[in-house]
This record gives sequence, structure tokens and C-alpha cells, in this order.
Amino acid sequence: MKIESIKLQNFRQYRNVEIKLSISDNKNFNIIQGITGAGKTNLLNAITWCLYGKEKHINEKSAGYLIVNNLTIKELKENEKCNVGVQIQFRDEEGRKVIIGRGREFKKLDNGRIMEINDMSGKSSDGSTIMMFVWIEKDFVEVPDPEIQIDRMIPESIEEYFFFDGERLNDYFLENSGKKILEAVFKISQIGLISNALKHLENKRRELLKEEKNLSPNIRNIRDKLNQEYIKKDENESTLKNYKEQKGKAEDKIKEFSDKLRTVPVSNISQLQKEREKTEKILIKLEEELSDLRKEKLNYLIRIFPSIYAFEAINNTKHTLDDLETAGEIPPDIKKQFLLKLLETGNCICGTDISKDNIYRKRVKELFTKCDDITEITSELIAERILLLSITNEVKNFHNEHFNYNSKIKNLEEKTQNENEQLKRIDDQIKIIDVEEINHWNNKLNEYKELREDYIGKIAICKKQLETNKQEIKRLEEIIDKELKKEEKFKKLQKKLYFYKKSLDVLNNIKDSIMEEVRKEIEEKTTQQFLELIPKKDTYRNIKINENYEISITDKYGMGGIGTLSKGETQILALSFIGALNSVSGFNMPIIIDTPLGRISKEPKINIAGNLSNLLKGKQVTLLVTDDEYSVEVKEKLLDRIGKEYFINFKELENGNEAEVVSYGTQNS
Amino acid sequence: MEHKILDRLYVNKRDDFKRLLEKDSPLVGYDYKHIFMLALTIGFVEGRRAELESRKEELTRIEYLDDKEKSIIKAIAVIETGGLEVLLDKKKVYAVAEEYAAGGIKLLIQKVFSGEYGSFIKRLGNELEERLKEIRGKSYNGSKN
Repeated sequence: MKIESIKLQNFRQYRNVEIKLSISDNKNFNIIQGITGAGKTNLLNAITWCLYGKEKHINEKSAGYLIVNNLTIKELKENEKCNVGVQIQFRDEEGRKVIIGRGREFKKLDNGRIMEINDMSGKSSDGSTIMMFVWIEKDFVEVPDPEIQIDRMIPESIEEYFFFDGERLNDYFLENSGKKILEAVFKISQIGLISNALKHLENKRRELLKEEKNLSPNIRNIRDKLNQEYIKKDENESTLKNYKEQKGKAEDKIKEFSDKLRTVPVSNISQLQKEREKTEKILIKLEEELSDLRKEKLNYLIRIFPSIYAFEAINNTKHTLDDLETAGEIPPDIKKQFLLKLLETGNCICGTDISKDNIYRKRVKELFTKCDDITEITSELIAERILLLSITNEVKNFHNEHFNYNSKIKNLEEKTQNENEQLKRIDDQIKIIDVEEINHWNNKLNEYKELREDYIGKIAICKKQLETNKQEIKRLEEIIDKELKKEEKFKKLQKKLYFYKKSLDVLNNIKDSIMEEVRKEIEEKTTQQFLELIPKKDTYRNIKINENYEISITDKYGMGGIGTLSKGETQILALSFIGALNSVSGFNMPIIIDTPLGRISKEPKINIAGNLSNLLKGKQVTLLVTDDEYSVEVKEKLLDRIGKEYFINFKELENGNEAEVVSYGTQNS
Repeated sequence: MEHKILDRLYVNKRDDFKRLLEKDSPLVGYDYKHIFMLALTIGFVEGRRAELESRKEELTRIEYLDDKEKSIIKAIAVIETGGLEVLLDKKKVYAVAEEYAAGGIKLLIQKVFSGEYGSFIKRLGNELEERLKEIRGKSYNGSKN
């Protein structure tokens, strides 16, 4: 990539200038000479502004002025417009012409002030408009998204290693050299993408780790509990089955002995047995009724228990609510509006003036605030009051209800007792009939009846226990379901975390190895170039960039440091380093150096000039030089390589400044 | 503290509540919410309020409570905090209930298992009669405290 021409229109001191640069491989040096303040640095600024919308080398003095040429501003008539523009024409590797242009438009107002015209269409952040064209076949074609294309061609992050101020190169190694060199290696390696990916992966991994904490499955513990509950359920089911079988067997026996007694050929026995069976049926019914009634009573007691135990709380809360209602605070909306109206009008209902901030107004305000709190819970309080009233009434009725239950139970118990006595009488009558076998049957019958009763009780308890088991199993299964979902998520999360960790490791390794490779290459090239450029070739051995990216130099005695170098030698080191950087970068970009030999004394200057062409071999180099730098000796050293030579003719006029760039007339290649 | 949606009731030891639903208990076949309400009101009357060690032992869902049960819980929170404002803070309302239930469960277990199995209903009825007489004697005569 080489620059063919730079056109400047009203850009600072350049009103209408076109600079054509040599793009020849042999004559790869362009010289633009100018005295201090002529505008060399602004040429560098024009290039960075055109490419990135920023004047990257602007000094404080220029930064205070508008970008538009001051002479042009003076000459503008009211409401007249003018453009500021920089256009650079490149020739890419394939020989294609690429034009990049940036512009801003200004207008002179009635009051003489200058205003930027900004229609916001396709504008960059500084208000300028950028366009890019590529010559394809027979015409220039506009390139969409020029900023993105430019960043691919000449990345902004590394432009400072291609467009730089030679005088500032020394500062490069003054302080924080490790940090600066690391930054340079980082940028040159173009591993920003890897770094972004690492950052992103690390953030995601941290998010997942947080999620993982909440997902640690607790499943084993719950599963154990569930298994225990299943075992209990199985045991209860088996017991229930056994009880039912035993009850069935007892009933079979009861039937067997009842039949025997009913059909016995002894007078009265048969009749007595029939009576007994009838009484037994009545008894079973009575006992069922009694059991249901007791159950009903227990339900009632369990339900009323909390109301009676918490009665004081219920009663007090109810009274508080009653008081609020009596005071008209529930429902409070009417009162609240009423109070608001009083506060607004400044007159109390009693005629007192409450328009000023007096004690009466304060009281009304307090009442209003109180109403405000209550309003929020009004509907709930009204509902509560009704419920509490209902509970209070239930408690009041407890004694009667309890009495009724007890009476009914007592009545049934008495009936049951009567029937039992009747049964006993029948039994006794049967017993007195002195027939041994009949007595035996009767005894057996009673024995099995007791057994049946026993099993009925056991079955009832077992059924309740089973019900509790089932409820517990259902609850635990619900929890297990939840935990399983968590576990599934947990496993997925673990897989993701593993992936993130591996990716991070791989990316970190790639990053480190690229950085290491680039560091070594830069170290090697810097040493090579430094030793070529430095006049005292035997004094120094090599340059080292250590793991912390700190640069050091070793002399022939194995000693030394950057601090021992003279200003000129430091600049040579910086040039070597920059040369190494842009050689390693892989970007074939033009190099523009502002005051490249500014701080270097005469002898080394000539030497450096002679070696610059080797250092920057194959690159298009434009040097922005002062008269002092571009001495006859320097010119002689570079002569074979110079393609174009210009002189900046700076004119300080009455109404403003203007600079022209005049060709020396050096022959093109 | 870990944030949980207010839809469940928590206790210190769920097993204590479960004990009252086992087959040798006269309360077998009832639900956890019944045991909770009994423990809560006993805890309240006896002034036994126990801080919850953690909120990991879930007992039941608040939605299983009926309106009257919720109303009793609210009334206790109002008395406990001394104002109706607590009704705006449901988390606080149920936290008070959970703490009383945690404090009252041991007393309930004692009460349930202290007599013979068959006498429980009778004992319970008599105890409530006694309690009501006590309240009437203290404060309830249709007038407020």
C-alpha cells in the first residue's frame, strides 16, 4: 500500500495543495522540507484526520483553532459556504487505485461567525463525512462502510508505528517501557480479537459459576427420604392387606359359628341367635354413627382450636378495626378527600384558618398522613374485619356447639350401651343352655367378633397412615422433580463450564505463543537494525526484550542499559524498534516520519540517513524534515532513493496563513 | 439471605410436625397446615417464639391455608408488632407465624401424646372449654380490653 497523492483543501494552512508522492520501489523516499512551524506536522494530521477523523499529532496551539483555513474564513462572504477536505489516493498491492476522502462544510453567518453545516447524513462522530472509492475496471466504485474498510487496510490501533513523530521516539524508552512495548507487541500481533474473545469467555464463565452455586443438586438426600417413605408405604400396604385378610377370616368364622348357632336343633337357640344377629347389626350401625360423630367433633375442635387460642389477638385486632371504622377511617377515601380539600382551601370546617403553617394546619396534615397509610390497606382491613367478626362469633358459639356434639355422642353411646346389654342378655341366655358344643360355638363367635373389632380399628389407623405416606411421597416426588431438573441443568452447566475452561486455555496458549513469537522476532530485528545503524558497531552486542517486555541493551562487556545511550543512540534504537515493529506487523503500509533525525548529532545523522533505506526497505517512506535535518550530507546519503522532494512555502499574511507545497523538481523514477 | 418467593411456610424441624401425623398420633390423617396452626397458636399463647435457623425446611404452601386461618395469622402479627401497618408486609406477617409455630411444636407434641389415645378428643374439648373460660374471665365479655 502506497500513497500516490494527498490533496488538501482549506485544511489548516493548506488552502489548495496537492502533493504527489513517489510510489517507485527504487525511489521509495519522499522528502517534504519545511522550517519549524511551516506545517509538517499538520500534513501528518491531515492524513490521520482523513483516515480516522482525528488529528492524532495536533499540538495545543493548533487545537485551539478551527480546522478550516483562517484566510478562507476571512475571505468568505456572509452566508457563503466552504469545504475542508483531505483526499488521499493510494495504490494497493494489486495496483488498484483507492481514494479515501473526508470533508467538513462550514458557513459564515450574518454576525461573521463560522458555523459547521451538519446534515447528519453519513457523518462521522466529528461531524465530517468520509467516502472511499476503488478503481474497478474503468471507473471508481464507492465502497460501503469506509471506516471498516480503512481499519482493515490501515488499522487505527497500529497507525502510530507507521505515522509518527521522530522527535518523540526518544520518549518511547524513557518510562514504562515494558508497558509500552507490551502494548506495541499486543497491537502489532493483532490479537485484539483473541483478547476480546478471552474477556467474553471469562465473563460468561463467571456468570455460569454463579449459576452453578444455586444448582448444586441435593438429590441424594431427598431420594433417601423418598425411599424410606416407599418402604413405609409398602409395609403399611402389606399390613393393611394382612389386617383385611384377618378381618375377612374373622368374619368367615363369625358367619360359620352364627350359622351353626342359628341352625342348632335346640329350642330357643335358633331364635336367640337371630335376635343376636339383629342386635349386632344395630350395634354396627350405631358404632359407625358414633365413630363419624367423634370424627366430626375432632374436626371441629381442630378447626376452632387456633381461633380460641389466638382469641385475644383476634379480639384486639377486631376492636382496633372497629375503632377505625367508628372514627371513619375505614373506608377512609371520603375523609381523605375531605381533609385534602380543607388543606387546599386553607379553611377548617370549624372556621379556623389553616392556610398558614400553624398548629391547626399541622394537625389536619397529620390526620391526612395517617389516612394515607390506612388507605393502602383499606380493602384488606375491611375483609379482615368481616373474617374476624365471623371467627369471634364461632368462638362465642363454641360452648353450644361443643355441648351439642357431646349430647349427640352421649345419646349414641347410651344407645350403643343398651344394645350391648341386650346382646349380653342374649348371650347369657345362650350360655345357660347347657350344651357344651353350643357354648363352645358361642365362645368362638364372641372371640372372632372381638378379633374383627380389633382389626377394624387397626385397618382404620393403617389407612390413615397410608394416606400420610402418600402425601409425603407426593411432596418428595415434587421436590425430586425439581431437583432432577436442577441436576439436568447442572450437568449441562458443567459441560458448558468445561468447554469455557478448555477454550480459555487454548486461547490463552494461542495468545501467549503469538505474543512470544512476535516478541522474539521484534527483539531479533531490533538488534539487527540497531547494530546496522549505530556508528559504534563494536560497542554493543544485542538488544533484549524480556518476558516483561522490558528492553535492555548489552555492550561488549555484557553490561549496559538504555540509560547509558545518548539521545541520538536512543533515537536510533527507537527507529530500529519501530522498523522492527512494522516489519513484523505484516502490514505493508506507507511510513511517514515527522522530524526523523531531529535529535541526532551530525555524524550519526549521516550514518542513520545512509541506513534508513536498508532499515525501511521495500516501504514507501515520506520524511517531513527541517533544514537542519536535511543537510547536504544527509541528502547525499539518501539521494539514490529519493523519488520526490518538496518544500513547504509558508506565508504569514495579514488576514491569515497559507502554506504551499512546492516541488524541488527532483526527477521521478 | 437467600431470596425466596413468599408462597411457602418454613419451620426449623419438619420431622417434629411429621411426628404428629404418624399412625400412633390421634392427628393421623390431618394435614401439615393443621399442625402448623395448632403449633402456632400454642406458641403464641405460651409466648414461645423461636427464630428460624434457616429457611430450608419447607412445611407447606401458604395457598393451602383458608381465609380464616390467614386471618388468625394476621391478627397475631398485628398484636405482635403493635400496628396494622404490618399487614402491608406479608413477609413479616408469615415470619411471625413461622417463629411461633417453631416455638410451639414441642408443646403440641407433649399435649397430644401426654394422655391415652382414646381420650384425646375429650381432653381437647375440655381444654378448649377451660381456655375459653379463662379468656372470658380475663377480658372477653363482649367488651374490648
